[in-house]
Amino acid sequence: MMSDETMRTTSQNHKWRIVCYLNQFFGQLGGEEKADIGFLVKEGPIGPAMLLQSLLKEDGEVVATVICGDNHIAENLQEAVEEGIKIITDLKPSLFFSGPAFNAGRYGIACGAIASAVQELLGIPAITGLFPENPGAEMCRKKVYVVKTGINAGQMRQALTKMADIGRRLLKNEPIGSADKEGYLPRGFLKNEVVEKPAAIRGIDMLLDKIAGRPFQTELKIPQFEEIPPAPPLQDIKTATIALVSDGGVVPRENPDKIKVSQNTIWAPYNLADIFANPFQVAHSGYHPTEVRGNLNRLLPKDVLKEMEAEGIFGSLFPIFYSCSGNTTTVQSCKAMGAGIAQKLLDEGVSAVILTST
Amino acid sequence: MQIEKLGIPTVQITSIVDVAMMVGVSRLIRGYTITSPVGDFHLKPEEEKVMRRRYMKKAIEMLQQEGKKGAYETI
Repeated sequence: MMSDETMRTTSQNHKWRIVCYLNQFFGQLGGEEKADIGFLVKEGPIGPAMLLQSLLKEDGEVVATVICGDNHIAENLQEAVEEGIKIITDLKPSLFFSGPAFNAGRYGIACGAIASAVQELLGIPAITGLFPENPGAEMCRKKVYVVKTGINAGQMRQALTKMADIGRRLLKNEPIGSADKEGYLPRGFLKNEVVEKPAAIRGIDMLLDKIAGRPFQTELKIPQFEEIPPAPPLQDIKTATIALVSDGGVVPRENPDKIKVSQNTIWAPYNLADIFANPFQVAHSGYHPTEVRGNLNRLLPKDVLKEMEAEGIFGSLFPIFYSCSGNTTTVQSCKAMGAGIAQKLLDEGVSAVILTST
Repeated sequence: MQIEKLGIPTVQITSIVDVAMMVGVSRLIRGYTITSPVGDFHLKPEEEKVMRRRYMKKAIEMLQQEGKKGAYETI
């Protein structure tokens, strides 16, 4: 009967050491109330890492799962990543996985940042899985393999299967095909390939398809964020009307406009005095609302702004604030809500906005 | 960004500055925490108001200045 020590040594000799990173929720510590928790390490695979373990059981062993709260890492990204790297270095992995985080913003940023650091600083193959619109995706897709996932954990198995497959091939030095073919986000590398049709013909064909309204596939994808120059500064603060806008999801009791707690598409105007005077709700499941419930000024700084208005520091505080919820919202929805709110602000003659985001 | 597009200067206060900068926000203040952008429940109410005022003072200053992409203020 082998001793524990011998078994560990055997596993180290013949199987890759795999380390996984998860947030507090997938690491089974709790929900938003545990989002401030710092790094901790659990032996073996936890949660989704168990499926990764079974997918890679021929070749590797998940020796540890590193868990950290989403707020802890997102609020202080650089320092937290350094902390995480120290921990991961000591675990000596040959392969690293973070997430998948789907469209969860803070978690996606964390997964991307940690995987990038593992890849760049430790030279260890690192793979994560994100919904293409996850803010973390743009930050890390050029540094690590980011498997394209669905919008939520309903597609966990598909995501992990692809992540495991890429991980296995990276370690075995097997070739990985193009982003489109393999299902990961483009990494920004140009690889020369010989194709039958010359570029000039492909270009004209694409243009003809576009003009005719037929589907076509671009060969070069343009980045998605519109380049918008900053608005000009306020000329006269003493006459300016300032309005508050927030994506923290604050709504009157009963949520009359049915703002959604995640993947929201709705914004609504509410009277600022009323929301402070009457019971309100937080229609946003992506952050723990205790502090906002304790004092709404922490999200909508009305108390201080009213004082500054009375002192004549600026013209006036607009009596309506614009509310929506920004939790795993798609870029398209953000744009649409933003444009809607913007037009309303313009119509109302608002001069400037203070936008608070959780 | 959509609000700025229509020419209305906007200061965003958020703890997750990386995303804001990625999207192109040019008047950005780092929020205190994710769950409390302009507040701190550890402080006594009067002290908290003083802290909140610092954020608002900076926001009002920034509304009167040119926007600066890729940067943020920490209070």
